[in-house]
Amino acid sequence: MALVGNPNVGKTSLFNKLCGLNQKTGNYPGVTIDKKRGNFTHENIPFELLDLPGINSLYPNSKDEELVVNYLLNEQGDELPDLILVVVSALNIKRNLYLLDQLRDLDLPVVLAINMCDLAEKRGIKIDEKLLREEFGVEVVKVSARSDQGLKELKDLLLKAHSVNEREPGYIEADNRDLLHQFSKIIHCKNEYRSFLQLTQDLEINQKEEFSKLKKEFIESNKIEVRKWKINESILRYKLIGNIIKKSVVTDKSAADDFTTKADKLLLHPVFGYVFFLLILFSIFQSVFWLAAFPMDMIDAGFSALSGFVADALPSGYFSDLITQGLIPGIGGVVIFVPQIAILFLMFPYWKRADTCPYCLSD
Amino acid sequence: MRLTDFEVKKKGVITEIVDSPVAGKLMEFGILPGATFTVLNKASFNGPIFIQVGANRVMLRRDEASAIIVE
Repeated sequence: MALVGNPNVGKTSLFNKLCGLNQKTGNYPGVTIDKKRGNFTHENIPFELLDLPGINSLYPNSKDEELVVNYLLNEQGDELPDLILVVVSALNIKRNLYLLDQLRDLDLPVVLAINMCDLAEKRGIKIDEKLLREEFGVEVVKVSARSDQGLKELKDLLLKAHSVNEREPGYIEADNRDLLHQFSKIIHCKNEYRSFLQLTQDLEINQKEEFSKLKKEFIESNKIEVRKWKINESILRYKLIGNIIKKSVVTDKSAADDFTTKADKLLLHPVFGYVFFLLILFSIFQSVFWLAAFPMDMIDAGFSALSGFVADALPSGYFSDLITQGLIPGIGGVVIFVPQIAILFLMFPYWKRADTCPYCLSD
Repeated sequence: MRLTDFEVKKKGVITEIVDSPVAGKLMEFGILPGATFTVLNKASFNGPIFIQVGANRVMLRRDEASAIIVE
């Protein structure tokens, strides 16, 4: 089973809640898939869960997005998950459902978990999960990884066998469907959306020369405007999702002023934003000195004690001076900076994590 | 008018996305022709522009934002 979803929807929190592990969130490029496996059992049935980096869509924009997309589209199939648990945030459901809609067209068994439902209710967002179930044809469950709400329902749902029915491709204009059908036949791909994705972008999984040649010929001979296909996909999907949201999600706007909005106002302020940025940098800088002072004193004392000891042990002369006044203080002078450097480097990952902007198109 | 020239705190409608490499990405984020938006903030020194489209907040670089035609 694989966990898939947009960045920042609480995939790892849910993963931790299900597996009872304290798995660290990792959003660094090149993190391998194997590192984030977890297990749990429910009603005596063992599950293996894979926590994948967040993706915005099936058009990867960074290394870790590419990793997920290549994984989901791999043709071998033996590595494919039996089930994809798509996690979306109730707070930003329209955009999150875009990915679900794409995954839905891959005809892989999908279960949709709507996370952060408790927060959404507080902010006056009401979601009709039954309607979503009917519209997308997948099982839907509301959860909150924070308050454990809905976790049992989710696990019960995972016990059931899931199959997904093929549906009409809503991501392509009717005029182009024949072309896509032809292309699928040429590359022997059963799933048309999979071939759509392969046609409209260059993926690592089909770097083979014959494939590229085949694709190029197909695109040129049929005068396909790949970018237009992609843009039309977005428009068509959002139209569909917009209609579904209209029916199934009600937002009470009066409750919309929340902590994040207020914090953003201050942190993203044209002047204060920079002030906060400098404050954070300054506090990192200060804490490096402050935290490192203690081990530095110890190292300093240690090296002077060592050179004192050696001076006493050796007969006085050039050799003794070389060691006690040259070698030992020399090495000590370098080693003394190790704590500062170590602490600075230990802080970098946290800085980097805080740095991945939840609002940006790419990092 | 380009989004980069749009005033802060005002509401507007996206009329067109200029065909460019970022166009596909913008649309995946729900930045589509016909959508209404609010400019929440503009950073100084030609920094990023922060907009809200529906419930979705997106931060855009100037060159990304200049591909969006609004009114």
